[in-house]
Amino acid sequence: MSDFHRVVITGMGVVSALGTWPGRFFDRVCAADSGIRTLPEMNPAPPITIAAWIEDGIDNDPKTAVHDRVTQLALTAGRLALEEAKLLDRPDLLQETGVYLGTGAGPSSTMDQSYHRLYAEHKDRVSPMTLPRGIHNAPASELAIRFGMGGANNTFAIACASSATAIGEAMRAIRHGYSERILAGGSEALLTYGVLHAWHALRAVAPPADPVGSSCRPFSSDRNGLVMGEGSGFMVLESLESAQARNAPILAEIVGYGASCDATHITHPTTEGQQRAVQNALQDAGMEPASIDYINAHGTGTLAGDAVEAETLRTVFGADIHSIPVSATKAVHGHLMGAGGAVELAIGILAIRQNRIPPTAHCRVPDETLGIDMVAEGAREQTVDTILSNSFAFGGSNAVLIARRF
Amino acid sequence: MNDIEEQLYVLLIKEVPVAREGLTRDTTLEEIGLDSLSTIEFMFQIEDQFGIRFEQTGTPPKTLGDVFDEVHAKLAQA
Repeated sequence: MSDFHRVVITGMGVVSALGTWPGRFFDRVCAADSGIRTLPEMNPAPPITIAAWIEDGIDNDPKTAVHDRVTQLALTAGRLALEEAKLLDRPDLLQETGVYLGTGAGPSSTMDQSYHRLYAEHKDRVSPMTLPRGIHNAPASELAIRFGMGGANNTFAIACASSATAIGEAMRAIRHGYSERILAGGSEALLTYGVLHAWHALRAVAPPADPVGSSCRPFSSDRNGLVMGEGSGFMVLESLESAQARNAPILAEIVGYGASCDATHITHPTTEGQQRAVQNALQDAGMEPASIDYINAHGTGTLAGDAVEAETLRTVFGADIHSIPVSATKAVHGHLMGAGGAVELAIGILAIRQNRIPPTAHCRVPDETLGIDMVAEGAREQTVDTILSNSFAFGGSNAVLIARRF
Repeated sequence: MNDIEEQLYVLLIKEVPVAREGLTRDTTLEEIGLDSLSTIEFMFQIEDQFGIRFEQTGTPPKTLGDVFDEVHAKLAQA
């Protein structure tokens, strides 16, 4: 083995409010077909009434259905990725495969329901499965158990940079020979009564617009907040040697990962920290800014967040930023928090595979002060060889990934 | 067979992916995939539904019949 291994993606799986990948997910992103809808009724009614929530597409066999929703989503997206990578019938290879999973809130339904029993129903005990299903690493562990993946099993809890970090760290582990193959990604399912209250209190969430699907409007002058979502995205990362030896499908190559922390404020982003992460990723990939053909922005749709990110891009890319399309797909799949980085990297890779750049949906009054090409008019058909995906988190953590055509 | 045991079968089928057909009092917990953790969860659900509490000590049940007998005994005490 040499000291440096190229890292490729041999399978991807997504489960989201826009359906699954493989499936209609990417077509719906490109069609600006929003998954943001009115939430099902809860009693008592939560203060947030809209989200990109999943109605179907989650594996519902009895072995999956017993778990917390975040684990159910991970088991579904993980299975889809392993299936595409042609690994489901290879227990010998799965035995040495690792799992790197990012999640911000973890199994929040389990904890919400347990506390409800105690505080609201005044029961004197909780289910014995509260801990086994409620620990933060339950989704990663259940993936390992379900598919017999005996490699390193790591959970990253870095808010909205969780799954981008999981993928970046997985790439490094393979690149430097610690592992040959890792299922990496993230899962998030935090549309519970308690968590909805917590987000509402922060005043960062957009109110329902007309139509509801257009409530999240990144890069638009009339943007007024993020819209929460749930979902999961996974990809099989593999050394090039391993993928070629087993004749696996190669979807793309991951070539750059940059990480940093603003180290200034728990919620307010700063451009300097973000710039360090983008520059680190470009340096890691050995690429000039002009090599990037498409940027999937963090773009949450908040006034301050989008402005700081645009400043970051203008500073790092200079004049080149005018010729690089930048879109924020959270407008349609919602803010997937810890799963966002993985799902948005999958969108970038599908842009490479299909030479199709998804739009920033609902950008009805493009904010020209941002100085970026936000693809407001609709999807574009053009050659895409290299993409960059930003994930910027509460806590100030930033993770940036670069992938290219193989 | 009685109503209590039929209710226990219904509860069991909700907890574990197993078909009602073929289940008898002699079926072992192991053969229907109930490990130590899921057995605790099953017992917890029974306690909740029937308003009883099993002893924390004693021999762990091996068959469905063992579980049913414990339920009958607890209900008789209530």
